[in-house]
Amino acid sequence: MFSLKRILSVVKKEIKELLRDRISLITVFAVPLSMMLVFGYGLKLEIKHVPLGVLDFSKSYLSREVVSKLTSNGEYFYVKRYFSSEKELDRALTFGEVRGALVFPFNFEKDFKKGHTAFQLLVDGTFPYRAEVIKSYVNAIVSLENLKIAERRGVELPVSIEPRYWFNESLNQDYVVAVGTLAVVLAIAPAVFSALLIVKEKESGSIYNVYVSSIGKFEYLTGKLLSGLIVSIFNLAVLLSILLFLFQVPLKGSLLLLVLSSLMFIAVSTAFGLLLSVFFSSQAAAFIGTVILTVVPSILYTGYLTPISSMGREALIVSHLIPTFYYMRLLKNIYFKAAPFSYLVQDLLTLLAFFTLLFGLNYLLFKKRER
Amino acid sequence: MSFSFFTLLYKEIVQFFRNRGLLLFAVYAFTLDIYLASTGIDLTLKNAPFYAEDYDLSYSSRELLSRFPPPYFRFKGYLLSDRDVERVLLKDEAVGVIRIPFNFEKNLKRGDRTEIALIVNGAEVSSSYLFSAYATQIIYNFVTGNFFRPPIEVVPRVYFNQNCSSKLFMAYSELMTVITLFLLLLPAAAVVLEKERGNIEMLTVSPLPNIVFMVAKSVAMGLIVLSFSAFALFFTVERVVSVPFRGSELDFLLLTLLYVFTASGLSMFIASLSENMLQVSQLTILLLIPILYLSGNWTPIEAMPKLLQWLSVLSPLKYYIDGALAIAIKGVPLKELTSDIAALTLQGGALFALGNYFMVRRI
Repeated sequence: MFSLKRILSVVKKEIKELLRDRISLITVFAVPLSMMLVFGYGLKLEIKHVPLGVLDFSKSYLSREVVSKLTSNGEYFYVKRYFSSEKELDRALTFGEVRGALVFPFNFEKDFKKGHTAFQLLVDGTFPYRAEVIKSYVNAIVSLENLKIAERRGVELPVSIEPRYWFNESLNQDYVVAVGTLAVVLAIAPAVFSALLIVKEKESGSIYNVYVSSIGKFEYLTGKLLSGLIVSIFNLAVLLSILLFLFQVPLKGSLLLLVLSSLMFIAVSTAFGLLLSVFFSSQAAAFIGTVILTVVPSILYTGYLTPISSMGREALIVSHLIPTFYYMRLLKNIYFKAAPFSYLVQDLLTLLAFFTLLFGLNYLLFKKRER
Repeated sequence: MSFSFFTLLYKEIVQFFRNRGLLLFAVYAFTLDIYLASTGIDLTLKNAPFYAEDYDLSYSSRELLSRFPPPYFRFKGYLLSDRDVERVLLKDEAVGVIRIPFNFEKNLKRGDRTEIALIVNGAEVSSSYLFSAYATQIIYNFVTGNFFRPPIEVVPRVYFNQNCSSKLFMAYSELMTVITLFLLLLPAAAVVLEKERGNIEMLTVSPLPNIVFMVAKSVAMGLIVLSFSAFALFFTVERVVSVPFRGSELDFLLLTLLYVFTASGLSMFIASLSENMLQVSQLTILLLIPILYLSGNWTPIEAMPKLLQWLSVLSPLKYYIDGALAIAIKGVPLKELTSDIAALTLQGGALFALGNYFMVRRI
């Protein structure tokens, strides 16, 4: 039988150790906090203040008009430089001085008077998403101008297009990123902390005390798990308050469910870190392994930056192997969609299954001579 | 002296390769991890699934839907009610739904007002925005085609990466992130391991100056990371992910070498502050996050708040990414990247010297 006292003494030892190690004590809380602040606050998917180059062969009223329409609200584009030759422009694009360029042909205005004209938009494709957004901005602004010109000529478009954003009416991408960041941080920080909990004793040799002591395998592992959880629960409270009060992302679903699923997920990621700690015999390996196995999958395969529905088949298979995928879905369902409980049950149970699996593996792989 | 330096170098390298766990993850990071990152997702609009709620079911409405082409869009079928719309969006089965009203065709022909609704899943980012932007453009082009020819047309052309493939960017950016992670961690871990074991006492009383130990560690780890990077470049990036490399690989690796000095200098700072691996690991992440963010890899520097724009000159990764992407994607020769080289050399020299100096002072 296991005893609560022995479990708690492991917890007590870990907490004391942390409290006496000032740098660790600060950083253990500073790491998730800084991740949340930097990425939740700073990761901007809107493209703003794009430096443009202009190469105007037509030197016409119309070309200046187009440039001013594109840059007039000052938010999306500004003209960094006017060029006089294609060669100069090419160089500026190559060295990143400008991210895009407008090229007006010699007959730009003349053709317009004849009824139809065109200009070229050159975009630097190094950052593909940015390139696509720049293209779409320019297209949208020019389309609007075309409509105005048509209206002046007496042609009115009878169709209006009305985009509606469900679940997030103003399409505030910052909200979605902030909530997604919570999932990413909770995938990384608890795992990284718990990844060292056991392997540090292996490296320093104090694990032999554990081997010969009367504590059972289950008690020892539970103690380590709990100490990881205590730190992470504190962090969770801080991160949730940031989300609700600092970023002020409106919560549409139930807070209770949000906390419940977050707790389950913390348990999963703590157990994952612990598993690496049981498996490896060097702290450096356990740490770097945790970082590599959590960061890329939870950022790229969970729907953090791109919809799950547009993933390919292989990517979809990979994403279903990652616990963060389910937590991200839960989080978005609760946070933005206020989805009914029946939509959430399956993901909650999956997280529970992940926890059981990971903790079970911990139990199987941790070798200790027991009574 | 030089002999003992090489002995130390040898010792560090052997020690690295005998740590099987570390070796395993290094191989994983420079191969599979980069593969997963570059093939996993695409931030641009690719195969975005959408449904239509078509109340008109006319020739025009079908024609309109046929204007949503692959590889950008993927038509999944028709929905019959708003309930279904809610269901597919709740279950993330579509990025958006296009709703076409009754009498769409009739109104269009007569020139009466009609309204097309685009219902987009706002709980998703990046491609949701592109979805609504592209869809608006397509519907607009379709409708205007019936009335007038747009007087001004935009002819877009994308430089360096014609079909806007995310693979290219993701492969290189992930490679550089992995390089940064290993460079920040490995030298610090090598030093702190000696501290934890108590070996550091032996080192301080040995006849060799302390600085030699520290430099040997940074150089050894730098060499290891550099050779893994070369492997990742030639094998993972060029063969497995198979994205084109425009410039010269030698230039890329030379720039990486410069970066090695900068990052391992930072690692020595971590080592000088840390007493145990927990501290090393936490401080590594604490440094890695701002370096990654300020590099402008995820958020363009021009879109950051002013204060962060100024701070971004401090991130060595910014110069490395700028230069390395220019070499890899745009085919710029190294000798033209003078400002990036100057910044990296300056930062690298200062950080490497200071980091090692601090480290020696602290023991």
